[in-house]
Amino acid sequence: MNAPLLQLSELTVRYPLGGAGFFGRSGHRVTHAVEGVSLTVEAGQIVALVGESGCGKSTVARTIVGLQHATSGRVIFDGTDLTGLRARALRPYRRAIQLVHQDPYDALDPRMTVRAIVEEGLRIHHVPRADHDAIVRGALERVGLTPADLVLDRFPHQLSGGQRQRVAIAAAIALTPRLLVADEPVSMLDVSVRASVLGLIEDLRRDGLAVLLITHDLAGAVMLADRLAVMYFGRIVEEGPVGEVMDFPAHPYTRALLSAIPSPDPAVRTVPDVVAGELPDAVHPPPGCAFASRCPVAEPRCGGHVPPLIEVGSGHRAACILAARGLIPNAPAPRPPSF
Amino acid sequence: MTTPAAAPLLEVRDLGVDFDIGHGQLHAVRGVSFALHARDRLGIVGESGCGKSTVVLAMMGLLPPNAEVSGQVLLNGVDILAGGDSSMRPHRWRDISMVFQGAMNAFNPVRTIGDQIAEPIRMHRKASRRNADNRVAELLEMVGIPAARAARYPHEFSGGMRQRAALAMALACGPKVLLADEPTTALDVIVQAEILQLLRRVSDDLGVALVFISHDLPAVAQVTERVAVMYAGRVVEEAPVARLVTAPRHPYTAALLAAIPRPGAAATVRSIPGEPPRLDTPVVGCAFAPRCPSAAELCRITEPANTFDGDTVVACHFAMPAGLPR
Amino acid sequence: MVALLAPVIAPTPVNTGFSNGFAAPTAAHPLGLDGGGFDVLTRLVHGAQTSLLVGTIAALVGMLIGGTVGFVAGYFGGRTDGVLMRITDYFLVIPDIPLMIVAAAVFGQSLTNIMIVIGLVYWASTARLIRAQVMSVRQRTFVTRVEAMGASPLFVLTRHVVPQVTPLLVANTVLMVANAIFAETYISFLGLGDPSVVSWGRMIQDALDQGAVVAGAWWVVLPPGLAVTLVVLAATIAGQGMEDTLNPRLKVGHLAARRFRVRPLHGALDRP
Repeated sequence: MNAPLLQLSELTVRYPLGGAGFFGRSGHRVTHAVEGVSLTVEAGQIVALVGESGCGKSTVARTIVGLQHATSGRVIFDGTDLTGLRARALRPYRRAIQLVHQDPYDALDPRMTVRAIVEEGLRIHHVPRADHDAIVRGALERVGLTPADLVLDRFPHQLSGGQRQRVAIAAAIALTPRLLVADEPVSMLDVSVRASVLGLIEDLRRDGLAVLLITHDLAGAVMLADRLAVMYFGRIVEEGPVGEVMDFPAHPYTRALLSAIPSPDPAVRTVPDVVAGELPDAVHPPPGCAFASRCPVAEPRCGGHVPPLIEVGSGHRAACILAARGLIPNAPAPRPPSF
Repeated sequence: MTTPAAAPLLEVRDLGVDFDIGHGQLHAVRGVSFALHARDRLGIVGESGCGKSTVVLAMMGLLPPNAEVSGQVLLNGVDILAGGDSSMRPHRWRDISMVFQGAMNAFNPVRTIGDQIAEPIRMHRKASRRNADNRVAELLEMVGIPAARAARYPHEFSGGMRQRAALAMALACGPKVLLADEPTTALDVIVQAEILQLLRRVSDDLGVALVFISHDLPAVAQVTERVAVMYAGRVVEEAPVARLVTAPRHPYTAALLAAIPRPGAAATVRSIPGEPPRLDTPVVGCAFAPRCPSAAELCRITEPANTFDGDTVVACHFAMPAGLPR
Repeated sequence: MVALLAPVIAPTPVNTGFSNGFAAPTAAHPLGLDGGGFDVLTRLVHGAQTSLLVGTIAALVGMLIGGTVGFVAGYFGGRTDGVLMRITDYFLVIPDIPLMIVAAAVFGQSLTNIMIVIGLVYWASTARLIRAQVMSVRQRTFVTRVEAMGASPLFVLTRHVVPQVTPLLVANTVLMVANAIFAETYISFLGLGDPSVVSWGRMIQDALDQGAVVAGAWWVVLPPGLAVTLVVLAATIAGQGMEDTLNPRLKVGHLAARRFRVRPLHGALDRP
């Protein structure tokens, strides 16, 4: 089996907190954003990293593309360890890995035309001038903005949200990346437009692109993904093939997420399978399982130490001591709504 | 559902809102009508720019100076819109109240939550400090916040808790009608489910009529009994929620339902091509015609009127027949 | 106002004396003669050149220093920002007039020195403003997107940050011109200005020295004072106007008391 395209190994990111010192140095308090995340993405695969806001998934995305330094752990791309590489050495990887942001309304420089925006990456990476026009047009048409002539000379404010996001994607694929990290690519778009942008991302797989889709929308993620990884409080709590995880969710948090998705059928009252409670303090994380304070099946043992990821099915792992021993009450797996 | 014979608590008649944007007018709301009885729960669903937020802001009388409002807002039969701000103000918060979009981020960071919830109580009811505090404790309990947290500051609350506090603030003066504009939009799905539960409970326990505005049709379906779907400033369909979801009559409703992501049914989830029309030019014909799979020549020429069929209102020349599955 | 910028149109040579003392305005000398017998209008016009020149150049000096510090501190952050801001703070705190007096005393009273000194005193507030704006632009998604693509800091600064911040910088510079002109007037009035050049401040100082008030020669005191006031006012209004348009945080339009309008009903409404 080939080496995976992207491999995160025990990635940990902690932000220093507290006011700046006299000359910009910071205090001692630290917030634990990401803890020991290990994840792989194979070439041509779509992996969805799902979790709620604040769980650290955006931090993972930023670390992969080099906008954030990891406190410890490694980011390995195509066999090369990217952590600790200096800016010059990192450059080719900044072309091979592209990030699509959440906010299409702020992702494009309002003073630049679409042509200039899509072309910008080509300038940064010194692609020969003569090729620019063809590449830009090709990218725009690939994302569905055809004929390209119609948008090339427009400014972002003349485009709708969906179109802006497509421009951002075009700018990313113009560099022929191998991995696309999409951080909530559709959450700020209207519902009626989301499906087509997600469809576009899925379609890009045909060009040999691997995708790491980061989202809080479980239903949307499941439409595209091959593998699913669920994050909570900075750690991965469950991962596996998407069908497996959806049909046999092993971790109580995954089950809670599934149970909370509102069903459009009003006869089915959505009741989240969770105990009322709040996220623990990220500056002083609890010694045991972070979900214990909201878990409907938590036991005193859960507060002892952080549960490791354990195999619960083929290629399917969950970080719950109860899951390992099959002790989760045998309620039917909460089905996502369908009608 | 109340009998039609009872007079509605709140009725909106042919509401229109135009914004003066310097080089012309933006026709944001073009003739919206609906009625609420006590304990009713109405959802207004639509995408960005359809006018749903503008409708509720007009109902509260909170539109900016460049807005021109037409139509009527009748509270217990009396048009409170006619006198503009001065006729609406006495009713604000006491009879009709609102949880705004992004309310959880609109708290004053230097005052405690308790103080901020108490503010409308002290203002509208001229309550003493002690009475206000008691009421605050009562409200917090109703929305599921431990009363002791009243002395804390907004940044010490999570997003979901702040949304509950915003709800408490809206209920402070015992309104009969509560307007909730995207109350769960920025929240995680688990917290959202909890807030939806809370809204149902509050409406049941307090007998408050609820108007729930959102782009998220499933979330709306969880709380409301009737749903009005808005497009380009008009209500294109209004029906009991169960029927709307299973047998939509308007092509836009059907398209919206088809666009909801469904795991395992990826192939059938469809986006709606094109975009909503710009509302700075008068709309000719049906606003949805350019994007409608069943549009005919008539649709491009004549704007459809509202047709009433039992408890359903549809604005379409070719409304899909009742009872037929999609 | 702009006409005063081409003061070579002075009606008479500046250093020609016409009499030994004050003379009221006449047709030949519309603003009369000052205590030294010089034509007031001539001096006013030449003074305009000086005041405006000093004001503009001093403002440019201030803008260059302040702008650069602001950009560098705002973009690079961290230690660089910390150090630069401490320096800026010191300059913000220094009282401007005493510094100018000291500088005049130590470095001599030439026009160039004045311009530099004024620029040095006032750059700090520009630096703070620009730094804040740069920091906010730096957070914008389109900047991080391009950084993630591997753009160098210089690329990002020149192509994205500077164009976004420049309008504000220009507005701020206009305001600085107003301050600088006023400062120059002040310095000259205190007698620290360049003695070989006429400026409005100098005219006011001369007027007082020559006993114009006592002699009732209003035409000597009033014109320069009025001129300074008008120019400073014009520059301030222009600068603030630009800043209001460009700095979205300063907008207060939404706090207007006037509310929406209601269109009156005409005809009966019927709804089944």
